[in-house]
Amino acid sequence: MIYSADRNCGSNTDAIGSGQLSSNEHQERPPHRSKYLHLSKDLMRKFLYFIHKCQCHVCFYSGDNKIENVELLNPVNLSLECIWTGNQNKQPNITGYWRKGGVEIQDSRVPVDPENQQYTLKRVFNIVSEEHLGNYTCVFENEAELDFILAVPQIGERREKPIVSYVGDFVVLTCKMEDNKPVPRTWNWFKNNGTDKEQLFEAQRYDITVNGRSAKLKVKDVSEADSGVYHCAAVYNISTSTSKMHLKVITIWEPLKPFLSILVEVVILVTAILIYERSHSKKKEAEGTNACFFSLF
Amino acid sequence: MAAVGEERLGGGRRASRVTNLPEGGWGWMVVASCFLATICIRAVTRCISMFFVEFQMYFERDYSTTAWIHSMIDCTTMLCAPLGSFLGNRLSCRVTVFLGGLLSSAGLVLSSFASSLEFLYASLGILTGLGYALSYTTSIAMVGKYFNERKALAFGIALSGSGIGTFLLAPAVQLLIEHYSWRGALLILGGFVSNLCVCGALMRPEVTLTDDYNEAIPIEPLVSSQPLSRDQSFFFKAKEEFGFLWIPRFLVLSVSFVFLAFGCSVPVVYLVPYALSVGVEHQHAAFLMSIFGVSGIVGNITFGWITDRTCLKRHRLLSYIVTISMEGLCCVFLPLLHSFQLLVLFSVLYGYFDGAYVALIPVLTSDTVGSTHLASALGVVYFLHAIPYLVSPPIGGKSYSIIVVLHKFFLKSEFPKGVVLCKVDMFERYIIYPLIKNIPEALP
Repeated sequence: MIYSADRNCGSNTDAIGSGQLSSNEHQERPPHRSKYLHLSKDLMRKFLYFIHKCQCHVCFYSGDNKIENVELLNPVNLSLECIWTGNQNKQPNITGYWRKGGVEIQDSRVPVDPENQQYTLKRVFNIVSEEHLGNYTCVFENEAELDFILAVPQIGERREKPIVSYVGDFVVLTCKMEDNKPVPRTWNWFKNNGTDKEQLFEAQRYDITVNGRSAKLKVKDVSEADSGVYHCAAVYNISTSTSKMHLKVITIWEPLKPFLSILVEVVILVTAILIYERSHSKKKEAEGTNACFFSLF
Repeated sequence: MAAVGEERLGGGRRASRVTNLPEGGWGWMVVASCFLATICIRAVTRCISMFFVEFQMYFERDYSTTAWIHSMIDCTTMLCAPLGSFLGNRLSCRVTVFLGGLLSSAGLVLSSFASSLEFLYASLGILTGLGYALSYTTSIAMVGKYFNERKALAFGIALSGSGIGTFLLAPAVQLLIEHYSWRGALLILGGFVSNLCVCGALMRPEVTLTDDYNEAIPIEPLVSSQPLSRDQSFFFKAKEEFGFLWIPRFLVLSVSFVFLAFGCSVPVVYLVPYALSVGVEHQHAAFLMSIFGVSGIVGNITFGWITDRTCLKRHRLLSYIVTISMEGLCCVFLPLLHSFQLLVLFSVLYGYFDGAYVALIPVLTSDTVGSTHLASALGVVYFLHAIPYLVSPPIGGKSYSIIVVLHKFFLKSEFPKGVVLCKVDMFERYIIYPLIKNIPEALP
């Protein structure tokens, strides 16, 4: 669970729970440790909890999750801190280091001394652009480790099934960023063209509407060449988050086939029933019974 | 199975007739065709709401404007029910159902080419709704013409089509929308609904001596010796056709149906929001609706079988009142239910009695007016159902504001419907039943 504990900084505060970091002020402020989540006793034996300072916002993570997700919008100096309570063998010396993307970061090895029975590993990372995002791990050698995944907010709703449209019709593709995530700076639309992506701009056949958290692409007068994979990209200062959807264009013949087969079945059944009835009643008449017989209609 | 009955014709003249209902044989084919018709009508109407998300995205309108389509179809189906029964009497039932099938499938096929939401209102709401109205009452009335002894069971099976149909069609429609988008899905649904024509073909006009009597002696009553003018004969025929409206028992029954329809649609609408407000998760809340549907199907069929037993047949009205009272009681206790298990119990009980009540409507109508006038009577009954269906959810909201003043801490919207149904229940029990008991029965 992520939440912001200290809100005195006054810079652009958006929804809580978004890990929003402001890059307006770079002064360090002492962390405001007012809210620790209480953890149960059986977790106390080996748990890792993390305090991550976000400039003037202090965000707390807690729990025994092995992976923590951090959402970033803007370039920031991010301080990541891991605290480990140790185990039964109270070793005096532990080495700790950091990994990025599975590769150990140069010069990150430090000896860690226990203070108050806790081992602390802390490092400041300068996250400026997309290549600085990724999977960071703090490792207490041979003992414990924890992952931080630094990424832009991901677009939540993904449509797995393809969107179907008909030749000559128009189709509306939408992408929406959830309400508890911050508003992107802008949105872009792309279409897969062979192996690379081609950006789509407002044109005769494309209508792009951007409305803060949602973006719509309206493709008019669709043809079979418009089938393919489309990407919507939510642009933030630090990077872009994308979501893809598949558009499938079919002709009217596809649904017409089952429709016509059902109609044929109905016609066959109706004529069969009426013929059966006519022959049945003719038989009755031929047998000379006194039953009353009315015309079919 | 022959029964001799006395019938009061208009003008105080009497005639005796011998009714000879088949009670089986082709009757079961008619039940099957009515079952299929109910699937094509009621289940498809409910599944139309699965298209709303697609319509919202395509036409870029909000939920309430698109949801109006469903209300329009329902409303047109019920409001035009008398027209359906009128045509069923003039032409034969078979032709009416056939026409209804053609109209409704044409409506669905046309709407697959829609270019605006208003076009959908016209093609789905009006055209398809009209087609449904023509088929619905006539197909139910046909079942009544074939069964007398076992009519509750027959009606129960025929009407269980709406529950079973919804159960089967919902995933099928979802699949159609995924593969063919809403246009293709509407087209294929139009094809499916044209099976109403097959239902129409199966509805062989029943062979009874009653019809023979009606045909042989057209308009003049038996005893009169004066030749009647054209106007007078029309008047007599109209009086004979609509004479059932003035049977006191039928009047009281209609009033009871109106009140019932006011109460009944509200819980179904508010069940899921109430469950969510109490803290039940989304999937569990959806599960509640499925349980409601399934126990409705069970109620349809089993209650029909139960009330056909000879010991209960004379007390059919009493069983109807018991059903309604149980529904009312369930709803009164609803505000006190705060856990998922109790809500499941509520869904099961309420669904069962709701299914039972749906199956009992045509049975009671048939008991009161006889099988000859069943079509017209059913038309009137379903027409009376239409307005409360439209009006009661907003009224439920209004009584909520009144009740909130009285009970400040009951801030849940289901409370007024509990009160409404409780009122209905009390009304039925203490006012209508004694009234009905005191009215001399029109038919034995």
